[in-house]
Amino acid sequence: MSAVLELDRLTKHYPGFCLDGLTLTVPSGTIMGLIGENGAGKTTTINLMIHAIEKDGGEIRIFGKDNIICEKELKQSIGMVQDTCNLPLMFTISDIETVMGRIYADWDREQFRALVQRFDLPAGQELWTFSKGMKVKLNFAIALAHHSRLLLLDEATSGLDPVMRDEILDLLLDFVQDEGNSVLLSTHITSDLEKIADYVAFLHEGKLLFCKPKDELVYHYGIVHCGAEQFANMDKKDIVAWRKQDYEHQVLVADRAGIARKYPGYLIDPAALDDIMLLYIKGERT
Amino acid sequence: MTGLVSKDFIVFKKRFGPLYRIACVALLLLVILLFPGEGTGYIALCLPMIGEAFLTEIVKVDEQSDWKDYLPVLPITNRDIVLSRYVFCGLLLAAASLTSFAVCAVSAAIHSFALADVMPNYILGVWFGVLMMCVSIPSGYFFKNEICTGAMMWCLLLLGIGRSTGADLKLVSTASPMVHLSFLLITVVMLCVSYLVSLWIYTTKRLQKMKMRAARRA
Repeated sequence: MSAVLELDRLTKHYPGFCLDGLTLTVPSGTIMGLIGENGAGKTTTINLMIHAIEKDGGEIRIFGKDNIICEKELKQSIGMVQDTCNLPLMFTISDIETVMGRIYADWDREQFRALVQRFDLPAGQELWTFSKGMKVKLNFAIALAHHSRLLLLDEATSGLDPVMRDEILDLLLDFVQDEGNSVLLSTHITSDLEKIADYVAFLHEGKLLFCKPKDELVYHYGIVHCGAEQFANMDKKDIVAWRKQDYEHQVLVADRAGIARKYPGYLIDPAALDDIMLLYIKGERT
Repeated sequence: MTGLVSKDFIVFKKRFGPLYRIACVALLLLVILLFPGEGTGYIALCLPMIGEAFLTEIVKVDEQSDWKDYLPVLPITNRDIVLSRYVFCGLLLAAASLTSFAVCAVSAAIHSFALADVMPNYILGVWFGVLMMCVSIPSGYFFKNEICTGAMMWCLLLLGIGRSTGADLKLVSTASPMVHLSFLLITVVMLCVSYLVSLWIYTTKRLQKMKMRAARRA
């Protein structure tokens, strides 16, 4: 599998924040989820990819090409969806079609119309009458109508109702059926990632804590619920992160099955992405 | 770049609907019929500048929708973005100048006066239109819509000074071809400088804005 997106020691400094040597690869034909709390550097990373901000160091290669040198060419193949819609509010969908058709060399009018119909967007109404969800759907239609090969989604599904979110997730799965296509999805809704992501990258305070296949996280990671004595008996090498609650210790482990064999009698639950995130951020790491 | 120019024209078309356009045509007809000479001269002077004044509306609409934040997503360079604004204003100026010329020609034919009589006013009108474009685009990028309007007011003030001293008409009607050529060269240089300043402002301001926004989020 070739890499669609490669970040190599990417650095960006702001007062009070530093994206610290981020190295990440998104293979083609995959969906990568980018998670982390607010201010972790997710949006900064995406803004650096589209060259909306200048990097301080490192390299970004998209389809093997430098994102700054080949910016214009690469953006023809990148679809970006944000949770806001910054198109002129007096525009109708046909106005957008006219403008985008002249901006994107590979604009597919039929595909755009099909998506507009699929998303049930009112073609004749101006954008100011659209709800937030409708605007996000419109962003998706634009991002998909120019045959993009890489979709960058920045909190894009957060404004959608569960039904529409599900439809969008299906659409993303369809999108990566073509092995040349990839998606980088930054989101707080980790349940979305549990449904569709192939990889999950976790950013915390500008640093990449891990980038792992989602199945490894969901099927192998676990949370041990134990008392102080049981916790004390655990080998520190088995612990990824832990935190003390009122009545128990919650311990994140990387090999649920192995731990169950090693510590019989311990209560172990599968770890959801939220739990992993929470324990990494709020817990202590060994 | 054509996409961005189309976007500005769609905004223009929507902002100034059929009623507005009919009212403008009616006004021009009124001037042609009722105010020959001075009135036609006034239209020749003002129409190109009025055309350029529509830019403030485009800037306002861009501000309302935060259109600038959407631009980094699109496959266009900063150069395309700034140049498209000049192209749009240039086309607007050309349309206004052609209309103004048509008004002068029709009025001259109806009221039997020489077209050359209103030509100094016409040339001055077009030149001040260019000046407005050169001042208002960088002002719009540097400040906001209000200052873009403010920059246009300064151009009008300059026009007023020239008109009150009579220097403007004297320059256009009596000077030698060499002076006219110099004037033309100055105009071209002014346009180039304005474009470069706009590009610099746009690039710097965009980076600053993104930096501030990202710092706030971080």
